[in-house]
Amino acid sequence: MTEYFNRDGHISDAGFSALISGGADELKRLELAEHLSFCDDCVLRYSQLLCEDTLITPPHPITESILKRVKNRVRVLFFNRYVTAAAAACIAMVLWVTGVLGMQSIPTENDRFSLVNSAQKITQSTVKFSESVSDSVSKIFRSIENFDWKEVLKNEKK
Amino acid sequence: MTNEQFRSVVEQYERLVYTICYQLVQDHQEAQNLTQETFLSAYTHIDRCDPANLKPWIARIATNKAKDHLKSAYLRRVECMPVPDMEPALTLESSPDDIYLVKEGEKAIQDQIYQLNEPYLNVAVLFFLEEKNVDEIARALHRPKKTVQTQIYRAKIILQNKLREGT
Repeated sequence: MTEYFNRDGHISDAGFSALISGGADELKRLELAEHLSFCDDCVLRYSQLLCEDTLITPPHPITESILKRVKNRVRVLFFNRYVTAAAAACIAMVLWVTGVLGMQSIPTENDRFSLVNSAQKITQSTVKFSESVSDSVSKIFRSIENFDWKEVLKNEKK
Repeated sequence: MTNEQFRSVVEQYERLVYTICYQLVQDHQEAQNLTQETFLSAYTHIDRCDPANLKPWIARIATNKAKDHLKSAYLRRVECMPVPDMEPALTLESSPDDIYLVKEGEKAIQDQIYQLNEPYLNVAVLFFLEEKNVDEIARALHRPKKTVQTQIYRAKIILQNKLREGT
């Protein structure tokens, strides 16, 4: 039986030969691949053995598809970084506006009071805005109820 | 690295990468996919690579991609047989005949271990006969721990089959 590995554990000449000629079965190819994945000497030797005569040309050209996928990957990476940076900026802005960033490490009574005060102001503004919208909508409905539809229809016929 | 520089890297090493992938997986379609995956990975980390070592570095990425593919395909195909415990069962109640049989069994296992080929021989000797653990074996043989674990598992399967054939 042909030995694909030397006693020291490195790939033998027979092993490289079988790999290049396609003579190794699936398990042997897996064993060879596992060794190449961690052995610098063997991967260097393998890459040197793959000279111009032994290189295989792909049946379909793949350079353009590779470059296209690389461009897409770059776009995705850039977009992710941009979104992350934008989210970080928004969080920082919110923290700055609410005054959290200006606080000392141990919030004092004044800091707590100003935070609570800000929250109360926001709540009051929201309530006032809601009430004004509600009043406007009620006025619209009341005016519709009092509207003289008959006069409107008469005018339309004329 | 600019896009133009990377294009020239792809054009220079496309056949090398494809050849490695094809020689390992023996399938044109899969080799093309793995070639694309190789260059995608290379693009991400190429600035860390010394230009003088670009060829073996790209070859290493290609072999890793092919290895991962082969491993998952192999595991899907091979049944995970329960591997019997290699320790012979001896108790205080064992008779001299039992002890003799167990000792003969141990000798048979030992003989089979020494008949293993690499990459399993050294791993099996260190694990079964010298009772080293995975970390020690990985350090002694300069192999990754996962590789050592895989090789121990396969060595057990080979020994089991050989012992069955021998009985």
